[in-house]
Amino acid sequence: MVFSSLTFLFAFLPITLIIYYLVPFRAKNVVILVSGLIFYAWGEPIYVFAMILSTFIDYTAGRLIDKYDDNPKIRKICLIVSLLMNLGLLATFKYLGFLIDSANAWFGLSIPNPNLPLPIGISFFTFQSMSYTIDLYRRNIRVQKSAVNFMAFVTLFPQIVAGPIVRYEDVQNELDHRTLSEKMLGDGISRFITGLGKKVLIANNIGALWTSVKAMEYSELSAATAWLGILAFTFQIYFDFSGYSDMAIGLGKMMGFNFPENFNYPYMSHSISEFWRRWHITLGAWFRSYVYIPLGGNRKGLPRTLLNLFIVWAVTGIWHGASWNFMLWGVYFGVLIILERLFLGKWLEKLPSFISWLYTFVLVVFGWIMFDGVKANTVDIGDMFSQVFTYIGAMFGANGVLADNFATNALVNYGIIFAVCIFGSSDIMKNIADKIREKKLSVLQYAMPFAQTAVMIASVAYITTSTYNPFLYFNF
Amino acid sequence: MNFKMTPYKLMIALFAIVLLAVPIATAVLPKREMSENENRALKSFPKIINEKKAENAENIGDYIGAVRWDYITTRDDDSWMDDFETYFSDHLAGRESWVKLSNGITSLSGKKEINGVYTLDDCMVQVFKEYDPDVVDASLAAIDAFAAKFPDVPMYFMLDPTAQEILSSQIPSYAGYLSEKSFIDDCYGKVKNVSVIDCLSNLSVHNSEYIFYRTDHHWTSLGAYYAYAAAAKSLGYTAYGQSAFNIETASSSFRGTLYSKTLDDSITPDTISYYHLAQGEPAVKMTSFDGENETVYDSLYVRSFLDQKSKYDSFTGSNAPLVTIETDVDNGKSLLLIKDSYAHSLVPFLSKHYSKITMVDMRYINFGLDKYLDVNDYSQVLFTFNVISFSSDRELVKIGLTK
Repeated sequence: MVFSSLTFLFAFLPITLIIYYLVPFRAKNVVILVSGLIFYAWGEPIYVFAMILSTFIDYTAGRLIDKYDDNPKIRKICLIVSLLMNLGLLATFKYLGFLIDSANAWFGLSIPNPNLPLPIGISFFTFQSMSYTIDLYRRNIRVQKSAVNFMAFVTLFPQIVAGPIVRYEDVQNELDHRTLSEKMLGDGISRFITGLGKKVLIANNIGALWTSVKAMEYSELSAATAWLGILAFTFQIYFDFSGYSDMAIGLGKMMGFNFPENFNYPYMSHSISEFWRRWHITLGAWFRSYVYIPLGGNRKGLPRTLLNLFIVWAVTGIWHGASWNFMLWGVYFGVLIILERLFLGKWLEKLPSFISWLYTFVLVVFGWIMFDGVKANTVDIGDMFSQVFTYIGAMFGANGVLADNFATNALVNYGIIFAVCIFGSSDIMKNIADKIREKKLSVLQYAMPFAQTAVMIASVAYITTSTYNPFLYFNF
Repeated sequence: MNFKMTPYKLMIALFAIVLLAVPIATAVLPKREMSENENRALKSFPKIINEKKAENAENIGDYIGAVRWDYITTRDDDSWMDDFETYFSDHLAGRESWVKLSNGITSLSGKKEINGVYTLDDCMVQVFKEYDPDVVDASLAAIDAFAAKFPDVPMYFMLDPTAQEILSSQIPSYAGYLSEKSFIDDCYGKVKNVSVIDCLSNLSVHNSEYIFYRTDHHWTSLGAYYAYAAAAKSLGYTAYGQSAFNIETASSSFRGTLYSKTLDDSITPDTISYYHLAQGEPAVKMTSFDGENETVYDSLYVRSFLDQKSKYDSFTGSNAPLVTIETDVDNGKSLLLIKDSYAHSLVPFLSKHYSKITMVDMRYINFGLDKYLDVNDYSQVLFTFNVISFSSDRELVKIGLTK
């Protein structure tokens, strides 16, 4: 189920919340478990069993790690089984087809591709479960003895499909004891609506521009069109993804959980390293804790540090999708971060802040070309590079046209939405809201809920309209 | 009781109202089966149980077997879950108001085009943005081949511009719409065996008059009149002057197909006019064949449509594969009209000059024309379509079929 659907908003959510608030505390985790399974199975009716299996194995591994606390061998075996199972699921469903296609293309083989579907959210829930067994192995957390509570952690519906990646550590206390308050519920609702509006009103809207630019021949794009197209995607992915995180965090609050923040105005960053501390924060933290630091982090000398960074970024890239362009995107950021660590970072600090911001923003925008500008999941790496360079070339006028009708039209049609995007990517709105809250400007404080409700109603209108299909055979 | 309103309570209350009011209203309000504006049947509630099997079930195993497991376990787009969402949105309380709201916000955000409709000052226009040249070439070749097959019957070809071309001076060029004039010229250059008729010039001369509906993609009776006048010379009749007609206002509350696409209430509804010869109309017998049954009318206007949404259909009735019109015009001239719906408001004018007109809509005919008629029986054949339907229609090639 997706949050931006009528089924979720007007059937699943009200029913779940009412039951959740009515039942006594000890039954609340059961409500989470059952609602989570329904939520997941709604979109993934078969592979919900893969998730259940993975949860069961991790739970059992956890219990065994705890039980044989003084037997390092058994503890290690349990950890390895859990890791193998989670990574195995990920490898099979997410990467197998891609590896086969690549091998076939490169070595002229013809291994049949089983074309397995990608179960929704598999990259998220496997990472979450792994955090539990690893942390338990490291003795950072207590074991979860209740199967229901553990399963509730994995199936907690707000974050199951697209994060934030909630680690067991983040919610272990709240799983057992949490308080529901008027403030949490009110804040949660407000946060949820903010996210819904970001996704439905902004991301979907500006995304339409990128869709049409992406469908054009890159070698014919005018410079203005190329810029507008990739800027549209730059905003689309931010508002889509951070909107989704906002919805998840808001829903979590409604149910008494405090999930970690996932975005912190990334487009205001002044270096690539900073960007990655503000973008998809929970993913960066995950790779840091479970890949970078185990590899030795920065404690084994400079060359090893650089190698570790490179590995982490290659893996981060490929985590985003089984395709070489994601690997390229990750490595691109890895290289930039290595350069910043070596010398660029010091330079950036000395530059006027506008310049360092511009440097960061433009490089991030180039990154999005690698991320989403490559048509089809190509296994031909040469073709991938040629598409990326053609697009970047177009942005600098390589096609000989600086602006054209398409760009003018896009500016007229999307000018206001672009302005909203720029405004919404900065923290201006948040500062205003904080001021209102701090100073207890009562009129405005009471106006905010009405404004949020208006956003909610407008979002529902957009969701409904997407299904309004005037089937006018124009009086054929 | 000590109740103190806080911003949090207010937020919770408003959210609860929206979250509960919408589904409750949706559940309680009566369900419609048809969406008139969308011109389609709305989704009925998707059934998980195969009722027939459930009725005959004798034991628990049969009941389990009656569940449509495929339907609820598929990952494809036609799962029960997807159908449920469609059902929900099709029947959502106040559905069209939601659509109006979002279209209103969209146009406030600066977008002029919604659902392929460009909105001008108190007027909407269907946009001509793209077409597949292969489809058009195939249609043109089919027309040419058809004409070659019946060398003794003079054939004519008239492409009708749509409002976009006539109002092109009001649409900014950066919008990237195509020129219908170039399209028509291009098509006319590619056919050899038919005589082409230019109605665009005459319509352009009158571009400030009410020749296209504001809320519908068709031309008005006045627009059709100018095309009728433009075709006179080629088709060999003397067109009546405008003053020869009494104009009847059949409806002034017409909201057409373009309205359905945008639901923009701010555009003034249209007026449908019927043109009657002041000296008296020829008697007509119109036989509409829907593929199975024939319906006979004694007028070219089917007034029952004036009470419905699709009021344009009052011109010769809604689309039918084959409509035959016999008149008491005693000149022995007959016309075979291979057409789209633009011809429906043109036929009342043409009928003054022919003993017999047969209208054929190839979109509804899957056999050779010779199953229904003999082309050699006609004095003339006129192919007439509007630019947008001709540019996208793939059905015309079927005139090449036999039986």
